[in-house]
Amino acid sequence: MELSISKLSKHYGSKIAVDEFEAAVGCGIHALLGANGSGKTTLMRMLCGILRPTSGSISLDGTDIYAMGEHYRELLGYLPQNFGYYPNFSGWDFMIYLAALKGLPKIAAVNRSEELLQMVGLYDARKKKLKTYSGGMRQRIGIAQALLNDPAILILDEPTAGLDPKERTKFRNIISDLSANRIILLSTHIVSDVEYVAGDIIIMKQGRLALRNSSEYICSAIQNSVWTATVPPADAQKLMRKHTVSNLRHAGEQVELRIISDEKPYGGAIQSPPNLEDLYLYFFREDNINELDEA
Amino acid sequence: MKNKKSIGMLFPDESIPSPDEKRITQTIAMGQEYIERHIPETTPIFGLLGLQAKYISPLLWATQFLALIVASSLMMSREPDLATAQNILFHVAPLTALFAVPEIIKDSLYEMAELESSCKNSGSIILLVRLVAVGCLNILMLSLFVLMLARAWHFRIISLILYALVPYNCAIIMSLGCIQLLKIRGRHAAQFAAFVSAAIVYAFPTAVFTIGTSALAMISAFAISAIFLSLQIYWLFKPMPNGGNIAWN
Repeated sequence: MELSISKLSKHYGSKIAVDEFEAAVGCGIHALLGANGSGKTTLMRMLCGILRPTSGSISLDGTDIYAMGEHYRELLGYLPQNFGYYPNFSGWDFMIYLAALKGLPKIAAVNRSEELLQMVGLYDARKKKLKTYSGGMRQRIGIAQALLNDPAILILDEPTAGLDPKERTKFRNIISDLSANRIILLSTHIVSDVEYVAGDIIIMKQGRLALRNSSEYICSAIQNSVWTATVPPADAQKLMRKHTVSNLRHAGEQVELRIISDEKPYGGAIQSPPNLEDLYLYFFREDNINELDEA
Repeated sequence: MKNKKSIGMLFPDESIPSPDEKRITQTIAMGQEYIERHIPETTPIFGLLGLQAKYISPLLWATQFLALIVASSLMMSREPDLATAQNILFHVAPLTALFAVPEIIKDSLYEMAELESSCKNSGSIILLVRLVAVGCLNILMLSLFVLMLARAWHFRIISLILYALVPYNCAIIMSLGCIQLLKIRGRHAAQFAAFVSAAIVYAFPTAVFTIGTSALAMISAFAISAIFLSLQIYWLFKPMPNGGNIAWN
């Protein structure tokens, strides 16, 4: 199964949200990274078939998804960045309502809702009104509804927003288990959420595909640009003004900094292995994509 | 049995090996998976209608009940007269329409549009089903009022029906027009717009009955309002393939 995106563009008047985006995604977890306004959400909405592109096409195994219509949507599970609920909906009502819209028979809807609510730890709270749910609980029920129809294509827009570290770990394990035979595309700002589970990292910038590869490969492009330095507080302030600092930790009288810089930033600085967060910061601090591409 | 015995005699040395237990289990599992994956996943249109009816806002039900009380009390307190019957209908029809429009477009007011549009039953189908569910409820109520008046005061239904439909159409047109033109997204703003629209139409009777309510005038008013309403419904559905009323960031 392969989802092919060909020269996909979306314009809102004079604003270009997605600009000739090209990619093909197969089974596995694909992480979509990008700053706010980089076009991630618009791209995901087009991949879900709820927003028509200005130009370009999306096809599943060679068939246009808009031509597939409901046959495409029945393969799809989607978690939007923001979603609401009707007043007086309980967690159970929400699941059963969406299961019916997804075309699940009543018995299957009940069984699947029970199974998924147990999986996300909301079964005991299923009769409570959604308005009483916390942000994390709402996000978990959003993830559960996306899995109702056992989708072959799972699109999750900021799925870990509002989840605590324990819930995020659980979420990572759930999607890792699901990724064997389905396409999972997720966008996030929390780079550590995808670093170890996504086999494919897609970076978007200004609506375009800026960089794509495995986490290890793209991190290797900045292997000489991440430094650790232990400095006095006064020097730390100077370094922070001059360079991108991905981490700062007070160690007694001194300050330990993780600095992203192409040149050695400080006399005693030593090189460190880069992670995806360093790459994200390196990439979005300024227009460094051409350098990365060449690397 | 006889045949089995004779065949056994023909092939005395042939034996069929027992299949591997693991393969039997594997075949059963594959069969089960195939059956589960090929269950036709469709919700019949009546199922969708029932689903939408189940989740109709209590506010809409409350206004229908209120309209029924108003109609009954006006009937009891007035003398039987055709103009009075028509006037009563002019008053209760906008009440039934009070929360109809916010209910029809509630997916965009409650940020459910994006989720609903990604489901197998598309956003357009769900909107259509909701339109039918709310429309049927309102038409049922209007028919009930007309029947009540026609039966109790011995008038012909035909002489009353337009006096219910015209103000109803006007209230819906004003409410929907207001929400569409002002691009209202919040539920309280939408309910306020619907309330103002119903109030304006509620104030119509005096003006209308002063100008005159001939059959020809009412038929013309109904035809014009029906055309307007059809156009508005068309505008409601037109953007659906491109995300409809989803609020883009």
